[in-house]
Amino acid sequence: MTYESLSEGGFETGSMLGSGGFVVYDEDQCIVRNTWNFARFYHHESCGQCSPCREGTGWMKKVLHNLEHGKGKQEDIDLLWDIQSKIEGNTICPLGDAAAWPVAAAIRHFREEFEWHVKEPSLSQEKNYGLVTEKQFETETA
Amino acid sequence: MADENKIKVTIDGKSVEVDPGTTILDAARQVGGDVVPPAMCYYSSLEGSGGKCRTCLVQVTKGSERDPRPMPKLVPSCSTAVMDGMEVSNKTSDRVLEARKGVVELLLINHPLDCPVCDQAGECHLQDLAFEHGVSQSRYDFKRREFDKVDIGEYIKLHMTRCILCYRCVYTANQLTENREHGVLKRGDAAEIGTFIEKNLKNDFIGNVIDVCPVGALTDKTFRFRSRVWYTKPMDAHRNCEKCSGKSVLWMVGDEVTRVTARKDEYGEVKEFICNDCRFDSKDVSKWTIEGPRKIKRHSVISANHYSKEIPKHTTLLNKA
Repeated sequence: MTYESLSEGGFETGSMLGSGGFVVYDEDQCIVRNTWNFARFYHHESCGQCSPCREGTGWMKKVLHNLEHGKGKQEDIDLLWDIQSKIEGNTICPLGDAAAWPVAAAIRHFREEFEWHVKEPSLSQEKNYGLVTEKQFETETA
Repeated sequence: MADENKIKVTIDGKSVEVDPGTTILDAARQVGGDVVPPAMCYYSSLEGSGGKCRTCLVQVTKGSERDPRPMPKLVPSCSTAVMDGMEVSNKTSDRVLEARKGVVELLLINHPLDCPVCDQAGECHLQDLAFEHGVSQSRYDFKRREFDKVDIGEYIKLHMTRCILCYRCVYTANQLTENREHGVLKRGDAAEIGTFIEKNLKNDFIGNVIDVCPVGALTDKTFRFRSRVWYTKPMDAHRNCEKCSGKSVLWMVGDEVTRVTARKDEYGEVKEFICNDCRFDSKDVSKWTIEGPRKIKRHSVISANHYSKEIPKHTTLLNKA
């Protein structure tokens, strides 16, 4: 694997989890939970100098926390998209960009999983493995 | 005759010739009018300020004469130097307006919006900015961050909840004091302005942090809750002062001086700082030579001066019913 293969496979299709490295997930991983984890990290690491990153990372974390814990609303997904678009490119350093990209990529590629979290709040709490069917999950973990 | 050393820059279609090394914001201020981007953190007399609030973002559509490629990102106009032949879009670019709207929204999510009880209301830069560029509704429905009110020094109250972390007061205090007595503690959205173990700031000019604060985070304890800004009448005045130029503005109610501030220019910046004696301890008309009423922008709430007028009866809702 080279950097080029990563960028061709990644950047052109608009996939980006994190700020430069890549993370491999099983299909039974919950995308919302992982995105929340990224948002939490960037909120913790934000230095607080420039306003979009200081305020935006915390906001994204709180919205994602609600989505992950079954308290999300349908418009939260569009709100998240809006927040990340207002952070990206407007900050002093690339930490703001890096905080916005995983959220953007997750919504771009796994929007149905976010919607599932909103529509099935209690089920999404029980099954913490995303949209994989229960049967698939059992056979794979067996 | 054009000066050889001057370089040409075009902002929103208006050209101006400036010295090399000038920032885009300063060049725009030389053009004047509505091409000037708003600035919340940049302060021309404070070295190192700027680049933090991101409200002054502009789009560079042509880098320079030699390298005409546009800049990919929006750049902060307060800390980007101009180049020869540069073309900048401010109000004419939708991308800039969209980004600015976003920045205003993000600045406001943790601001308490307690303008009705805030002493800065009426001369608050954030109010003006939100009025001009913001949206009327907030989409933020979480708890806003809160801090306790702190006394820093004899005359100054710090209400950190209202702070937008522009760092202007930090640069002011750094220029005034030898040690770093006043700075930012913690990081991220927990960052707060603080003094070393609640140390009193005792400098003859420290009162100026009140003037440089764009919001109501640092307020004058001798003026807090005494009056609203628009009930007072600003008068230019001066006095013979050993420490400073003594050129100030008196905010009067009748013959009473409610507060004294330095003179701010049209961008809300103080050029001649005044000392604490003038600001806090000279609230007596007899100590001052009054020059005349201060010119305030016509659209400003301060220039409305409605404090002496009665409300016409036919406009009240009660009479209509």
